[in-house]
Amino acid sequence: MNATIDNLVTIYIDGSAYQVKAGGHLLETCLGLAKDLPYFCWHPALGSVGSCRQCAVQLYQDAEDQRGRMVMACMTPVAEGMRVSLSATMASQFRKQCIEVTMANHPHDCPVCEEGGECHLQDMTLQSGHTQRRHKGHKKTYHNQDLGPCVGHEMNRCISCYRCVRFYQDYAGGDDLVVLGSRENVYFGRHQDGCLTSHFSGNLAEVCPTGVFYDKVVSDSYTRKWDLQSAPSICSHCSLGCNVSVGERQGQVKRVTNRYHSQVNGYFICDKGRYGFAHSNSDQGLYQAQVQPLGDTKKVTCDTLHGLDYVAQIMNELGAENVFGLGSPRASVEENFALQSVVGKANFYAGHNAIQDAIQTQVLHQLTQPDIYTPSLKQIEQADAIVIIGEDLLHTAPRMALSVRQASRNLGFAKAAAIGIPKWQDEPVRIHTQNQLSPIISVTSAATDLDDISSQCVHLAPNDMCDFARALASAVEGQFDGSGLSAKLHEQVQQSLALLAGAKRPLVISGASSQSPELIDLAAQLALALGRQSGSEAWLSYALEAANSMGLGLLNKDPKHVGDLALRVQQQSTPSALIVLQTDLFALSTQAAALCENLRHLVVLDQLPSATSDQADVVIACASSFETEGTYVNNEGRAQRYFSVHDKQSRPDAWRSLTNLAAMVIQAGPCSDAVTQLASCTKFDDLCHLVSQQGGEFAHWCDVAPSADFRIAGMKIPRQTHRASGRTSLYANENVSESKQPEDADSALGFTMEGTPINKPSALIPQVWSPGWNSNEAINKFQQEINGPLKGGEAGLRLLDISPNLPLAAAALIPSITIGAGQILAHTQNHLFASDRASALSAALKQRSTVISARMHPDTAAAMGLVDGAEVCVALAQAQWLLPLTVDASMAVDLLLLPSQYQAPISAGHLPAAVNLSAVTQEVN
Amino acid sequence: MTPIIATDAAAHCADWRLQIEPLNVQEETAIAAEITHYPQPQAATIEALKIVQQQQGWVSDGKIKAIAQRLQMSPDEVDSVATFYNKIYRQPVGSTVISLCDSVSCWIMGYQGLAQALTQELNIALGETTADGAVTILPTPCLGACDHAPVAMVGDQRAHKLTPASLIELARLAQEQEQSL
Amino acid sequence: MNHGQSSSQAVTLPLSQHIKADGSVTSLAEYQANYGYQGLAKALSMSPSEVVDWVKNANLRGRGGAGFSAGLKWSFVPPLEKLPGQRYVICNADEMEPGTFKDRWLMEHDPHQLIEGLAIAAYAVQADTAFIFLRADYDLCAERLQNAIDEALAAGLLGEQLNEAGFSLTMLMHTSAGRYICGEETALINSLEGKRANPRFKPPFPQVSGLFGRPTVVNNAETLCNLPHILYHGIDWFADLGLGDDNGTKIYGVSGRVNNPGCWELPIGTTVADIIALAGGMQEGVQLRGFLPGGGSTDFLTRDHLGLAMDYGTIQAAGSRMGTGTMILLDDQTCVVGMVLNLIQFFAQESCGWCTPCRNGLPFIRQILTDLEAGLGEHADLEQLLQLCGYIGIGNTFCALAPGAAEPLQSALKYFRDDFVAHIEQGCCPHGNSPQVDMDLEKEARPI
Ligand SMILES: Cc1cc2nc3c(=O)[nH]c(=O)nc-3n(C[C@H](O)[C@H](O)[C@H](O)COP(=O)(O)O)c2cc1C
Ligand code: SF4
Ligand code: FES
Repeated sequence: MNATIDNLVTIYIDGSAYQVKAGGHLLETCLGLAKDLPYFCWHPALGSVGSCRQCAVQLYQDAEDQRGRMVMACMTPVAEGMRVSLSATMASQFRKQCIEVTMANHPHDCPVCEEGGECHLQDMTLQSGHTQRRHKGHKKTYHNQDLGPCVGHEMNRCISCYRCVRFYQDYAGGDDLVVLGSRENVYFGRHQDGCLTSHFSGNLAEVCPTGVFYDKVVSDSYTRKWDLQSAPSICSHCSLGCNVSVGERQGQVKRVTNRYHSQVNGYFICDKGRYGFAHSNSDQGLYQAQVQPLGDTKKVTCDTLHGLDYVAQIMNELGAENVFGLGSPRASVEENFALQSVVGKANFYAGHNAIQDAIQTQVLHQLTQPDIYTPSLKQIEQADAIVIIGEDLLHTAPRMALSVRQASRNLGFAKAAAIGIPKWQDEPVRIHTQNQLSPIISVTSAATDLDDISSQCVHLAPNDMCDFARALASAVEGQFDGSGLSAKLHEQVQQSLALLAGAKRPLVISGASSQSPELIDLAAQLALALGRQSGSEAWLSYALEAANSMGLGLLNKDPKHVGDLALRVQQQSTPSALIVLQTDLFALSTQAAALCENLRHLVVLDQLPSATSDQADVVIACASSFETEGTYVNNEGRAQRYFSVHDKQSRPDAWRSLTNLAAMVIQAGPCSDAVTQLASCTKFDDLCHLVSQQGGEFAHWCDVAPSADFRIAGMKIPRQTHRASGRTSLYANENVSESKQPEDADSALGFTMEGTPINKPSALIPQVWSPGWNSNEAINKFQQEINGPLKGGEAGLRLLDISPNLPLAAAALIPSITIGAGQILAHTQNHLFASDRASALSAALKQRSTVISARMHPDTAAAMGLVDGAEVCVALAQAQWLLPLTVDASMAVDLLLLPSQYQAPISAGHLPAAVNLSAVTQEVN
Repeated sequence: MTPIIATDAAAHCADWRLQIEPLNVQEETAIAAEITHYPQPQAATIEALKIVQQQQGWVSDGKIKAIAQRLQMSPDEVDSVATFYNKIYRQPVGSTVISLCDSVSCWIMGYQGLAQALTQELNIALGETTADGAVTILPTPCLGACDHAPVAMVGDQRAHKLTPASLIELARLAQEQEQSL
Repeated sequence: MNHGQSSSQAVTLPLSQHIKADGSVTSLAEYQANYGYQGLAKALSMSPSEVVDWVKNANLRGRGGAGFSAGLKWSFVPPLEKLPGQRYVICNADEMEPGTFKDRWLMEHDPHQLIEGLAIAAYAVQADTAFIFLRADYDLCAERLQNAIDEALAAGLLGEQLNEAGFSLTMLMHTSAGRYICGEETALINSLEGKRANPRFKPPFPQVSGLFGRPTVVNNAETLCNLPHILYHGIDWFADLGLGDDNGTKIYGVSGRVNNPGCWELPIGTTVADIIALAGGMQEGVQLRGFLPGGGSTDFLTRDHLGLAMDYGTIQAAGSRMGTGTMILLDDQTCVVGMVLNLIQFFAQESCGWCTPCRNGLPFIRQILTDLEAGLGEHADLEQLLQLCGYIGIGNTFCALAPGAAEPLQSALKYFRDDFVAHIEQGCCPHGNSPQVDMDLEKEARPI
């Protein structure tokens, strides 16, 4: 056999030779070779600690050694010529004994356990061969804690693998879930009952190999896991595009779990993504079309085709040139494209205000510069120095914050590597490096939850952030001119400069929440400067406003926004109509009311009601992202497709309504090519084809995911598990004979259990399962190598890599804000939970939203004669908002932060702005 | 005017800082001195717990929180350490703790008889405290005085070569002391 | 190299030479009157690496149980030139092994001896901070050690600028909060960092990455007490003290039903019988059946082994370990099953809870033994117990606690199997013991 070639070594497992990658440990190597070896404490993202002792194998000195010695596979680095056995009696007997003693206290409550049917403990027990209980003693019982609305706790099931605390504390940086007690009485919980505060707490349900930590929302309307009908989906809650798997039963979405994507979310998603699905089931949603004929005072419900027909009539009446469309960064590329086709490019506007539009233009401009690269979340973990500027990531792009946290360990990994400790040796690395972290510089307007890992936290008002970024960029270039900077800012820049000096793989993160196109530009300048300093390409990442901000930006390269629309409608001499896609104008702009005044007709396509749909004379209810298919382009320009989980749709796809509308418009007379082409789309694939015809970065649109004709062995990919039960009886109250299986002409997924559970293309994996592996740990069997890409390659397409040099308009100039007497600059304080229309409908998240208050630096408050806890009145244009004031010493001065809340009188879309602020002296009734 | 959207997050995520039982001056001074011995304040956790226990007899939830605040940790992190160690009491104990060695040499030399006699005399089980708050009996691992077995620590005094009678006498003394206070 | 003063033939029991019958403590003056702190002075006049070599050549084996050469251990600390910065030495004075009381005896009576030894170790590895990790219940030791540290500091024997090269040393006491596992050197280090005392994985060894991630040496208290004498009297003198292959003296102890339990300093390699004789022999009416030679985590030996020399190699060859050198005697009036159950209960209770075989295996064993002692056992249990001893054996667990726990049980099954069988066949304990461990699993007998 050959010696080491290209990082490969030869090892012998139970007598057979294998070429494997050097540097890893035996457990991941064996799993990567599709061998079954049980484990508990190891987790691919958390590394090895060797506590459960479940992965024991026999290791031999050489070919002569017959006896060998037992080692823990997860703690043993692979080495050239290594000989091991998984089947050796000593090791396999030991693994069985491990399960035997582990199960001594386990309650065996599988029938009622939330984990039942997808339990790693069940799988490993069977795999180890332990079947006969010999323990005669009593079992222990524990008190379970109330951990809040999201995560349930059933300690009796615990096998003490320590994964929960290793994820929660070590990986995600939480400090309120720990191990308590010792010996056989170790207890994984909190100091006292109370809501887990981490934004990633829901992952505990997936990390726990048994049912100790479970998804409480799932448990509250429990469905057996194998009865869930699932679909691959993309989270719609922020711009990162985490891959999720959505499960439904009888038309109700029951749960959302992580769906592995090696470059995006890996093994973990945030709690908003997991628990924010209730909007799709909500009885507050829009389910029927409504029309209010001119002159009537009330809308009446009608079926969708009637509603669309009414819209077609409007279009005919007013003439195509007088009908406008407003797209949405929350709607898919296909939906936006369809609307753009219906109204024509010239009449299509983005559901953005002026600032948002300028930001999106600026973002596209920067990310398509030749020297700039925008890394994936996985790549972010490789950065050795990070500057975060203007973004409170845990609230605006939480999964990115988790990647930044991992990146902060790179200094430690390097230090440990210097004394020969590999990265996966989790405890030794942590111990050896103690508190030393890679430089993270966090520039925000107030303290954030990443401050604990930040080497430098700078709290600045938005304008100062620009000064800081500009000064730091020039300092990195060696042209620092401190004049014009305050002494403090000067010192802060110097400190950052020193921290960044040795960086080899620096990264700059900024984003939309600064609401400053200038800062977007300056962040890019800083990234370029750092790239030059380190001799590598500039790494730059932006957190954007919504799931498809990038997609909308690409469709709207000649940017036009609500403000432009308002102006145009105002200047129109002829009556006009507006079709609004999934946007609330009133939350977007203070000009909304005036705009609506000037319209003859307002048509809204949406899934949830809003102030805009209240004003509209036509409302077309449309499917949520769980009920339809579409494509979002995430913040790194990665187009990713999601699929409907439901077979019975209570409301039609928005894209289908728009193609139907196009067909109706054609009927009435001649129209544009775009409308004609759209009208010819009967299936989703037709629409994708049309999108791809735009060419450029859209050219390979049909490759984002396999088309609806894709088959494996002649069969579709099943959304149901192969052991789904009650297929016939499920709808027996409606019909006793088994009905025909619902068709899905729009995807390669089927609504039955027929088809193969394995070898699925990466974009089409509704749930993971492999023989003997019923839990989510089955993902091991789907990966090319542990922690690596899925076997079918990475799903999705990085569009900006395809077409780097986009023809782009320059970003519009945003006039600076003048602060009048008695006024103060107000900005948005982002809140992850329940701060937007969709997630506000999740009862669990609503309970986790923080108490609402306006925030201000104590000095600023004092100058304005305000005290902590005082009730204040904030006024902007016509809107007034009463809320309590919190004085926060971490904040920048001369700034007011207002919470982002859906339906707030002053919403994020109205800010930044100069607002009037006064104390409320009297009780208001 | 839109009302403030009230949430019950407060009920679920109560701020632990409101439940702090502040450190007294002696505790504060002693902890501050210990912190100087280590590169990070967190390393003084065990010392801080012992200092508080010396003052209070045990470590209450409120004091856990006070230590957490002082050492820049969460109460959960402090409690994780506190509940690991045998000699940190997270429940109140009597004025005198009788730690009765139950390990092998003392067991050979008559631990069982001592435990039985003492629990009967005080009418409490091992691990419990007498109603007057005078005495707690805790079985304890080897006290490192096996040459004098059977032994116990009565408060911070080691008692050697115990007999049921001599042990009961020590417990009585402790109870009398409590009454005289 | 000069291998030591020649005027030292007289001293044969160096460690206990200052220990007074009345139990009072040796003062600094008393200590210094008899070459006290001259070993340190000698060391400080040498280069650190010379001191390491000196101790390596003396072949001082660790007295904490494992018998690893102290000098060799120190030599794994990277030299200051290669790895500059902070480094630590720690005295392991946690002594919680059942049946062990030798370190207490040394520290209570002659604290300066330990302080001097610790300072020598610190100098050898160029540590500027030394900790004494003292077990929780040693209140008297704590008081006397702290006084002694203060005395030494006041006398300029510790502190700043101790030699021309500018060596300085801060010595700090840490009293434990009580856990047997704190004696395991890596768990001890975690505990000193204010954490839960779970052991750490090796490598990296503490000598490379220990306390606060810095190079760290941990030595047992008795090991350290030998250093002043080795430095002062020299290697040859030290080698001559031992009777067999091992060098120096050892503190041996005896507990159980003997007339005069206690501990004594004797040449290393003294026979078991001689040691028991010093303890005044068995009490009247009881017969010796066996003994644990070096604390609760060593294998039983029997009357057949009384003639063996108590040194590392001889005891190991007989199938046990010299461990701490403090033996616990089993007599014919004591139930073997009960005694083993008591030990298993100790280890189950002191398990840190990190790894499965120990955390869950020991309570599993405890359950079987409890049933056996109560007369509820079955013959199949004995086979299962043996299996379980293998299960928690060396290499299978994260640290040596559980393998240590297996030792008395596996050897009891070997030498005293009849006693186990009698429990099964008679349906009760022949000694009339009722199981003393009826742990209410939900309520621990301590306030946590
Ligand atoms: C569970 C366990 C408990 C231990 N307890 C002690 C102890 O109390 N004192 C001690 O010196 N060594 C103890 N040791 C041994 C130490 O880990 C370490 O080997 C020793 O302190 C090294 O010192 P030495 O080389 O001077 O013997 C223990 C080991 C284990 C596994
Ligand atoms: S053997 Fe395992 S559980 Fe037991 S003390 Fe050692 S590490 Fe802890
Ligand atoms: S997975 Fe290897 S010891 Fe737990």
